[in-house]
Amino acid sequence: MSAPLIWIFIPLLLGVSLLLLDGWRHLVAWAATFSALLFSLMAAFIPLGELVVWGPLQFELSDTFNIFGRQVIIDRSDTIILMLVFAGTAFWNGGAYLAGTPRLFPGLSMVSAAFIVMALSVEPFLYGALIIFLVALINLPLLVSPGAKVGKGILRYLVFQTLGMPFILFVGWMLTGLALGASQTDVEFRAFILLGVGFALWLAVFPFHSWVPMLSQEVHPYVSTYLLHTLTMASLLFLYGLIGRYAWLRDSLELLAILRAAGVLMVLVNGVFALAERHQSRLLGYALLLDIGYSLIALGSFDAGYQLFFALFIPRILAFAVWGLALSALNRMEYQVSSTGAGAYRMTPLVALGMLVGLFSTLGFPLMAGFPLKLAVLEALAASDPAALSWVILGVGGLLVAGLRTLIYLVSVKAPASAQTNPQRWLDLAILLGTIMIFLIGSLPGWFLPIYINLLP
Amino acid sequence: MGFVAFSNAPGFARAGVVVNEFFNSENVLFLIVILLASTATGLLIARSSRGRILLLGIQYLGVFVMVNQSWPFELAVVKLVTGWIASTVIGLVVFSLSPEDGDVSSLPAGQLFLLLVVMLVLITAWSLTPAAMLWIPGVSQAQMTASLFLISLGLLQLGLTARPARTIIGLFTVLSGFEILYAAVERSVLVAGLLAGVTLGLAMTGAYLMVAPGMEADS
Repeated sequence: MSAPLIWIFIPLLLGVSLLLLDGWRHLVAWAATFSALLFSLMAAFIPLGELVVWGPLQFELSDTFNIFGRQVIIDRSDTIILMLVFAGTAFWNGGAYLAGTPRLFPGLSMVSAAFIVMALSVEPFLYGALIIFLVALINLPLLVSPGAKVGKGILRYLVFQTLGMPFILFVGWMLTGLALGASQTDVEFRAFILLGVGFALWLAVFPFHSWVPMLSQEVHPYVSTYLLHTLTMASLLFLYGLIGRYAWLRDSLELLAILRAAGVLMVLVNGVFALAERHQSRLLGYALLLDIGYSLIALGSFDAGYQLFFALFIPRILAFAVWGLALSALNRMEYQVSSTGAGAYRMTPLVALGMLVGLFSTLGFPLMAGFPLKLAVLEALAASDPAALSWVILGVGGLLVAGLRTLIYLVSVKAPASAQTNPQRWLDLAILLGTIMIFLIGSLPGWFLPIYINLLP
Repeated sequence: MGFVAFSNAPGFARAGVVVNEFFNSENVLFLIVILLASTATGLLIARSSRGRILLLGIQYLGVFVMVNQSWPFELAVVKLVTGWIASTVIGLVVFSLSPEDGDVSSLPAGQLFLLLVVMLVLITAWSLTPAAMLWIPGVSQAQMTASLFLISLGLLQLGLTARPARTIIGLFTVLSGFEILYAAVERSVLVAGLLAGVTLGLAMTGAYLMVAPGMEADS
């Protein structure tokens, strides 16, 4: 048996099976959650490429699977990626049924997880760009429910994801040439430009960011949050894999500077846009982009940034899943699409708490999961590029003002007449659990984060 | 297996050689470049849905000829077949929906303005060809020109529309331009398969986006 079979083809088969199951929505949601959790735990506990002895059972997982003359390789260094992808899938599926997502959510999220793992483990690596684009395509039915209008944000999402792929593929071709020794400054320069444009399109770096708030507004909040998080996570991991594979790229100081600059730009621009945003779903979109800016800064911060880059995924999943759940609850309470969340605290305090905790954890507020890591990223940035720090603080300041304004809206403004009390106690419980986890990780970072960091290759 | 055996058959190989010889002549390539510029322009300004689907089918024929400059006949034909299947999928949905589809101006003045914009874009793309050829060595001038025409007109289409059908056709046009260039640098069967999957996936997605608003809401 091989590792790709366990973490790609079985989840793929499972995902397709879940798609075919009509009805039994509880069962499908729980099956997706627990199976994804199982795949994640297996990644943590089964050592790849070594003989495993469990009582009378002895086996060894080979790392290679051949397909169409190419190889899919999952080795020990991929453990953290497997855990992240499947734990994330389990986490998102855990709240999906409560949030009232479309019927296809569990199946498509499982298929997406399998595709993301395949994209990050196929050789040649650059073919993964095509597979990541397929992830963006297969999730489209989640965005447009039958009978619903196709919004501009959805079309822009499709266009930007499609346009990003050719740039990445061409970079792959150029990098292969450079890796073979054709070292030319102008070719490196072209590769940087193509790489920059391709990932700017995929990661919604300014000025290609407009689709994110539009999509957040048009689509079910939990679905849009899941999709934005999953796609950007896949793109970030792909970028990380790309940098790790080519020595000249890894050693390039220019690339690190470009990554930091892109990250700072994302924090600044999205913070400023958030400052003027009152719509809660759109605000979530800007906040997610701001958070991705931190990941780019971490990736561009030499060796210290590598652990931070991986660690940042944990508070991000927690914060945005809780925030997405809270916004889904607002939707269920018949708040209008252009909701500011006015008066939600009086109607249902836990939903309001979920929104605030998600937002302030993203900001890096003390005692919340985002705090220790954001602080570490800012310290790394201050060490490498002190001038850029002021721009980041300016961007964070924008989101802080938006957060304070949200707090005022939630607490002191009167709720709209159409709003109803949230009838879903399980949803409240899920938000509460997520909130507790955010505070636990934020309060005890020295206990939680090393466990995770130790898994890094 | 069956396809490989078929493509290795002497008749199929001979057909490939004849087709290659015909399409490799300079004059024919020049005509194909003009054909691709015309189809992409037509896709942009045509008001008839049927006409657009027909133009898309013809465009894929031109793309096949350009890809055939770099790839063997039996691999290049995959582009043609995939493109035609994608056109058919979009066509079937478009024909089943109401005939209206004009977010391009119906006024002659608007059409004229659009034609002028197209001319400007084509001239710009043409002038960029020599510089672009330095970026990707191994690409012929005809391939580069055709590719830049398709990419620029596809992007123009994407910038002008907010309708799913036109957006998908714009994406097909941009991707066709890219595939001509990429075929010159990458000859992997897996990539050919994945790109075919992308084209078909886009067609299915586009079809869903077009029919979803008319579907019964999910309970």
